[in-house]
Amino acid sequence: MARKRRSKTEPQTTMEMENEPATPIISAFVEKDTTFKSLRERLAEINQQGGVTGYILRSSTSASVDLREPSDLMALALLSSHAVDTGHEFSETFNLGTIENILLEGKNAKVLCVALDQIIVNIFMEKSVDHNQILNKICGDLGE
Amino acid sequence: MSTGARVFAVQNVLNEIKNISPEVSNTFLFAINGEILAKDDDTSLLSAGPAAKAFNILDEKAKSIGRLESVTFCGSHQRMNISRLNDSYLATIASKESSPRRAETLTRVLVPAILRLVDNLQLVTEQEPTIELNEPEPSALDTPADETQEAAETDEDSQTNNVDKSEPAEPNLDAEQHESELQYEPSPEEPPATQFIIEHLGGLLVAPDTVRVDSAAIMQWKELYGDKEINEVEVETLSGVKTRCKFKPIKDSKLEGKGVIQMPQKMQLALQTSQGELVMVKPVVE
Repeated sequence: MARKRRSKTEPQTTMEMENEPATPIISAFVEKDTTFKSLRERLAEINQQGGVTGYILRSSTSASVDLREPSDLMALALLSSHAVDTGHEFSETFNLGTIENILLEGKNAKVLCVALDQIIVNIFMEKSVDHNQILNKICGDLGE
Repeated sequence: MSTGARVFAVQNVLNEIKNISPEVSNTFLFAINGEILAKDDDTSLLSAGPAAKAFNILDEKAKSIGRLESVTFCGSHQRMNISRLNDSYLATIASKESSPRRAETLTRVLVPAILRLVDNLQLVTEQEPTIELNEPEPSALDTPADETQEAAETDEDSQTNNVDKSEPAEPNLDAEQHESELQYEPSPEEPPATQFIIEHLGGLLVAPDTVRVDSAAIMQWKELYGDKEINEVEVETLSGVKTRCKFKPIKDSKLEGKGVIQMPQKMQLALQTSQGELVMVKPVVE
């Protein structure tokens, strides 16, 4: 199911795509779903921070997107997905271990990709934003 | 990376980085097209080659955030950083515990500095064949007997001695000419870049579009370009952000010869840099 929601206070667009199974929910799924919801709340808070331009939160069953420029969705989703794949490739080649996070710094903006279990968080921000602070907020959130 | 000498120099630097920082396990430099330009002794082409190509594919997809300047992959064991250096990328793989700031200093300051040095040396060595081509000219003016004697000597000795032998035989005028040929004279199309450390320039009467540069550097530019007008300089940060602005000599005598550029706050913000950071400054020749 896919629905589109436009916030009255924020000019941003939020798109949520959920595909929850009708079959009985197993405990692992509940746990993952709780983490997903918790992350989404945390990301909504981070997204209010100055310089943060949006996020894509993705698990195997759900996705949540909030971007200042919704037209960039495809390009940014493709970039972050490809960054994760490249990270896995490099991890195998150079024995980096499990990829925990990836920081892409472009000429105009930067992207922080964080892998938490099977949930991928991509946060888009201006270059001046302290990505370490955001990383701590996300990872700290998981530990709570 | 046109000569073997440059590759050799860069490879030495990459090996030295590993010696300085034992936590660094692999380093390699590659071109935008994925060609491996240099690598340390422990990195194999089989691993670096595909990695460079994979990175270039990622770079192509990064148009939405501008061209990729730097990418860091943090793994549970090691961290891999790939940073852009002008027209190439430097990959560094270090342990997770290593200081990212230290690795950044090494990769973003030391390697570009060495590359520039090697390029300047390469310009000098490119002039050397001119001298060798000029060498037969004075010998042609010599008597045939001298020529025969010289040829016999050349046959007997190794080729490496040629320069040493020809030097005393050359007239003083030729020697002076050769010295001038050996001097580093960058072409007007490629002005020399000088590295400066940013010093904050504040005050009420400070022009926001003017930097203050070491007067020694300004004198050097005037000597290089003579009557050509230099009204502006191009300032570029190590991350590639650049701007053109007016310049004046530094007023504070204490800062003379310290390799400092005084920059207004507005310009620092525009260049996304700050006091203490390094910038490259080139004269804009009219």
